[in-house]
Amino acid sequence: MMILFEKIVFSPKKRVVFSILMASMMSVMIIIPLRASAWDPSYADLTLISDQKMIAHLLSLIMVFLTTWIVMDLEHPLIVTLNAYFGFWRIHLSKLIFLLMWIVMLYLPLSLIQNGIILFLTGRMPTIDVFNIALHDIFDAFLISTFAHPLAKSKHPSLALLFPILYTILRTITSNDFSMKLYTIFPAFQQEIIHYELAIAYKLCYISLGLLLISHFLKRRPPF
Amino acid sequence: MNYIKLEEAGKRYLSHRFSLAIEKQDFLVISGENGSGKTTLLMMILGFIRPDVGTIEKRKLKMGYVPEKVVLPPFIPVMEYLLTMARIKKDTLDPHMLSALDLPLDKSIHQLSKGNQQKIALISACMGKPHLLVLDEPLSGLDEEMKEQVVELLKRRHHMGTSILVSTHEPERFLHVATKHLRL
Repeated sequence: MMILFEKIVFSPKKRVVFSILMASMMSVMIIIPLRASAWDPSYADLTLISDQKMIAHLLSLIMVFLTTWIVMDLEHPLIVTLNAYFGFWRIHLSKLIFLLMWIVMLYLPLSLIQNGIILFLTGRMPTIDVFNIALHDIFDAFLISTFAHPLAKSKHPSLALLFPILYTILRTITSNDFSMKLYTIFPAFQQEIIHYELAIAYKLCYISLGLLLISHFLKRRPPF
Repeated sequence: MNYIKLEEAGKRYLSHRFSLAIEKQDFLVISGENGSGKTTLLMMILGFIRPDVGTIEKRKLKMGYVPEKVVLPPFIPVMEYLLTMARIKKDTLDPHMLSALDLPLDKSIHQLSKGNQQKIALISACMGKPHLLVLDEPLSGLDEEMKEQVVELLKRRHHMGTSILVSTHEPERFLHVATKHLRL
């Protein structure tokens, strides 16, 4: 099943777009640590921390858009017709596995490269909690795409992009205090939350809620 | 043995209520005017929509489905697509079907006409030994000769034990093989 999903989601045109995005991200990752190491050594660490946060921020935004894009493509009419053969739940589970697999496969190499480059070019260990940020970003991408999924199934699938757009706006322009309050309503958008132990559990609850919503839509909405 | 049984099933927006049973080795032809509810009936049988009124009893079935508007991934060569479908349905390509439908296997799907894409959808729907084949307007976009070929292929499938459900504007083409005809 995954082979077919891959052929549908990663068509030649989309592969070009994905490659350009990846190449751009990698260029940013190489340029930023080099720029930081050229600074006065006493400020280099501070610059590096803020730059790393900026890259992590950019990476999470790109991930949310990419995953929503994948979710929209997984509503291809061909995949919908396969429901008749394999059953709704098998197709749905395969989609979830495919999505999770690709979120991790797209995010982890970029995250590893980002930190590897910092270590290689500046000789300094990454100063932010890379693993925790990666975990939260992957969950964010999964959470946003889960909630965008019912819209991707609707008559106007492009409406699904509202979720990543909203995510970008809220994550970019809101203050820390405000986004912390927002986090209690919808657990995304907040980078400082990584210091709280229950944050991941809270996100998982929301992902489960999203999955329940999908199952509700699966029962009631026509697929075309 | 009933595969599917509908009793007074329908949607609010339709004036019709459907009562029918599909059994093993049935060849059911559904015909009717535009807007009479043929596609809605197929959607209910496939489980894609639920009836607002009435009931549907259904066994767990593997159903091959060819929609009215076939949408295939455009940039894949025909052979590669068919092999992928055969692989995920754990089946092999049927050489008889391939030669009968005369497809340009080396071309990419986006280079094919609507009729040829229809044929590809039909071949993939037949893969994996489905219990029931559901075809929505399978003859639209095909030329005369190919229409005959498709009817012959469906007849052959039916003899091999597959139940077939066809919604069509040309029921006369299937009447010699059909075991039931529902006119809406």
